[in-house]
Amino acid sequence: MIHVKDVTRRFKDKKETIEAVKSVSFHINKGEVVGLLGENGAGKTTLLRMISSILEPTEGTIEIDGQRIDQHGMDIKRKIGVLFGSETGLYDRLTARENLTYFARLYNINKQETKGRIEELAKRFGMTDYLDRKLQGFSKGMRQKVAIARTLIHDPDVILFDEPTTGLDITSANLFRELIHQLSQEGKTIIFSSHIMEEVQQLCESILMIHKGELVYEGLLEDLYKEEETDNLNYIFMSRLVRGKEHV
Amino acid sequence: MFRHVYAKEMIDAFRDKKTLFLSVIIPILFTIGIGLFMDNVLLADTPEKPVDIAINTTADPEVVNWLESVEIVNVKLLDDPLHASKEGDFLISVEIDSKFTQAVEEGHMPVISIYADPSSSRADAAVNEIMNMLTMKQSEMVAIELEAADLTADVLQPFDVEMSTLTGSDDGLSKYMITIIAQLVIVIAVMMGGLPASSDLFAGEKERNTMEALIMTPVNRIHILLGKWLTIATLGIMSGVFSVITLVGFVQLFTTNMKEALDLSNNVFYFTSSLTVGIIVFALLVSALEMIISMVANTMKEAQNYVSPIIFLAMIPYFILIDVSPHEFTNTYFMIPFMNIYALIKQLIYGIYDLTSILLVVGSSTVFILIALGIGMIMFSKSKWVLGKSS
Repeated sequence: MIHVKDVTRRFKDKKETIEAVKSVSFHINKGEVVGLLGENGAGKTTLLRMISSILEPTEGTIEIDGQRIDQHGMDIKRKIGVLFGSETGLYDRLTARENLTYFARLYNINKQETKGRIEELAKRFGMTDYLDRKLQGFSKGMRQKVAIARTLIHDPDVILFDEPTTGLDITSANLFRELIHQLSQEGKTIIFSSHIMEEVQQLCESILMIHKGELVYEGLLEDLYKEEETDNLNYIFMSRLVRGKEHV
Repeated sequence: MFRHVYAKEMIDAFRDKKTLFLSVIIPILFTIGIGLFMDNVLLADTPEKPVDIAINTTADPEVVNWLESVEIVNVKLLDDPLHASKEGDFLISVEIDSKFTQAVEEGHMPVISIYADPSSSRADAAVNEIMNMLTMKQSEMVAIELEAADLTADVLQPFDVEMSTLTGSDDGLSKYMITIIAQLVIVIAVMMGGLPASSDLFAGEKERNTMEALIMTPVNRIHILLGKWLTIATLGIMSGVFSVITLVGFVQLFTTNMKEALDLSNNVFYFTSSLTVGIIVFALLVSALEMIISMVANTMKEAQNYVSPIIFLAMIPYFILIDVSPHEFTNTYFMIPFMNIYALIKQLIYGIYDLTSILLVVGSSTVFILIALGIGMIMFSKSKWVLGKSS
């Protein structure tokens, strides 16, 4: 489903060139839920931005559903839903419905389908009461629901969540985890980045560990536990960072 | 697809109180304020209230009487009037010889020294009135002398000079004033009208991370850019049109001096259509530039900081053209961006309706708009400008 091959991304600053992602390769199958683990600044967001075609890789190729991103960008965008942070990408002066309608239009969804999709998502996330209210004054939890609905408005096959539970209270974070579980059961392919190990353990079958732009582990969580002879992911993560890229 | 972006941005902009304030309220208030100032202060025949003038206590009472006869001045006698003026207590001080009348009779040509604050329009108006009165007194004295010598005043004035304006009316100063107000008000209104939207739609979206969600959609970036650019331009056009309506309405309803100068009765169609075309192309150009500036900035505050010098630069052609007659304009004036809108407004207010000028404004502006849009499109295709520092 997602095939990343030798992807590198460099950023040129005035004085130096920073390599945010270094020759990363991995493969994710359809319907998998994959956790992308790494410290702040490890290159998680850059990697997700490249998969979502917002950023072009400096080197390497990314394929989604057999199509290369650099050749079929528009087609691929229709298949991907992205949420960076927990509540971003929304317009405060528009109502929740207007926000969703706007993005539905941009995904070229017709009016009738948009209406039905919004009602369905509103019911699913319990937003019906405030669907026609402007986002100004919404709580974090309410905004998060609208942001997720926006991400799913075009019913994407691949969903990318970047640090989706950062800054959320326990209730909202739990609701979000429940959502990922539901989406997984619907057969969606999901990558979500996080630095909360318990969250990853709870939701993912596979993980990608990234450190200073390099992939230090790719594989099933179960295999990792066996290899390390412990299921303490925090411990494993720290030791992998120290050992570097030996298992990739 | 850009119409969806445009429609959403317009709704968003109209719900932003700051945009409404800068696009509608400010142009109206600015136009009314500057119009009132021009009509009541700069074009006023006489100052609103009398000006106090300081005269030395030793002054010849006859001359003091003359000065007291000038309606717009209040005479105050002081020991050292010049010192009082320099201290800022009086706008005008006058020093007169104690034996002025006697000196005149004896043919000694005595001097009346007037000191006035050059920065005050009230002082200027009062000095004009005093000078008129003194000139009249001089003429009366000369007439008496000539009569005594059996001559008439015609001896000193062998011929007359008639001075008329090219426009055939006696409203040169008023027309000039309307022109400089209109140029300033319209250009500022167009620039300010699109400013909040421009900083919000690019730098603001980067700051709030909404741009990321937008470019994730399968919409060609050119469509996103065009939708946003047209939003900024529409607000600029609206603001410009509001300022024109306010200016014309205000001049016609609330002014006396400027009303006579702005006579559109025979040319409403040409005036309105030419000015509308001028405002539209100017707004399209300005909005493209504001858009580029906003793309360079990472935050709204940064965008606003970058725009300020551009507004000052836009004022340069205004000052260059301030003393140039519309009859002196060559085609070059209508081909240089920013200068062309000032030139067009001036031409229209002076009643010169020249199709070539309008075509040159439209043609040259279109070239610069296309260049600016091209730069904008290139920038908007690069993640560095679209996503800002984070990319």
